[in-house]
Amino acid sequence: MTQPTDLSSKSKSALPSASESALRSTRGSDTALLVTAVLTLAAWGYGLFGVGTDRDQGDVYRILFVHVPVAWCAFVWVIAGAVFAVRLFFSPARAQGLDRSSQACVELGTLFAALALLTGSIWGRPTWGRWWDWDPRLTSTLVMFLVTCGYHILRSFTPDVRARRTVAAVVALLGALNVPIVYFSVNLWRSLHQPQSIVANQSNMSGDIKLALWVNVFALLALSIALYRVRRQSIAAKETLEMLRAEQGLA
Amino acid sequence: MSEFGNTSWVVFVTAAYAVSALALLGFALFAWGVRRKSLRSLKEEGYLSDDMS
Repeated sequence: MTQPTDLSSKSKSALPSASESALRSTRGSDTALLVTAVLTLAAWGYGLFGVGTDRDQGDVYRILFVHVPVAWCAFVWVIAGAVFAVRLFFSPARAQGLDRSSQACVELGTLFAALALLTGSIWGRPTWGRWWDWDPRLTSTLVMFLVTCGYHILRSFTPDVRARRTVAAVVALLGALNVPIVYFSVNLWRSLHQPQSIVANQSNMSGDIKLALWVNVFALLALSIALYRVRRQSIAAKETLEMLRAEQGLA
Repeated sequence: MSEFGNTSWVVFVTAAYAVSALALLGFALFAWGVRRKSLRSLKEEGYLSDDMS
């Protein structure tokens, strides 16, 4: 066993200055997280108290302002994870950074997919009379969620770093293939789920509800970007620590 | 339609927003906590130079 390194002699960083600077630049991302969280709460307040009652569903429709944004965020982050995964195959020199970015994206995709299923279930109980239905939209969303869960499980059980990156990237791509299936499922199959909320050149909801929906979509998207930045930093910091410890031979 | 059986719409709407808020907050705290712990360890183990604080 090697002698423990005298840490007092490590007054200079073992990291390149760019990496160290990146690890330390956390204040901006924390501020962004706080600001976007406040914006999201304000957007939710607008949806809850600033828009009138729906003619058909009454006030329970207000779940729309959280359910639709989380579903769209799930699509965005699952696709983003796949984009980083594709770039990983074409830029092996940057594999480490791209893998971390892909992981952070898929984690957010998993979180938002779970929230889409949960909020959808809560909305389905009073409107459809049931918590769950094997409807094409719900089933395909569940499949997308399970694939993203599989991504994390595979990462945990693949000890070799290069193999883990490759396997994870492949699963991220498979997860992204689900997104168009989920999105167009209401058109492709007979579905209990209502049609798409926003359709080009069509008006299937009133202007005030549509405005509140867009406000909530952008607020939650901004919050998710801030969450991505913080999570990406945490993955980088943890992996850097583990790598440096391994180099030093410390447990 | 404001009542679904004996359950007011408030229960369902509140539950949806509460679940979302708790999940997002939980994820933020998890990410922030891992980052904080890792950066602290990097600093304590001498991998981050003090003059860059």
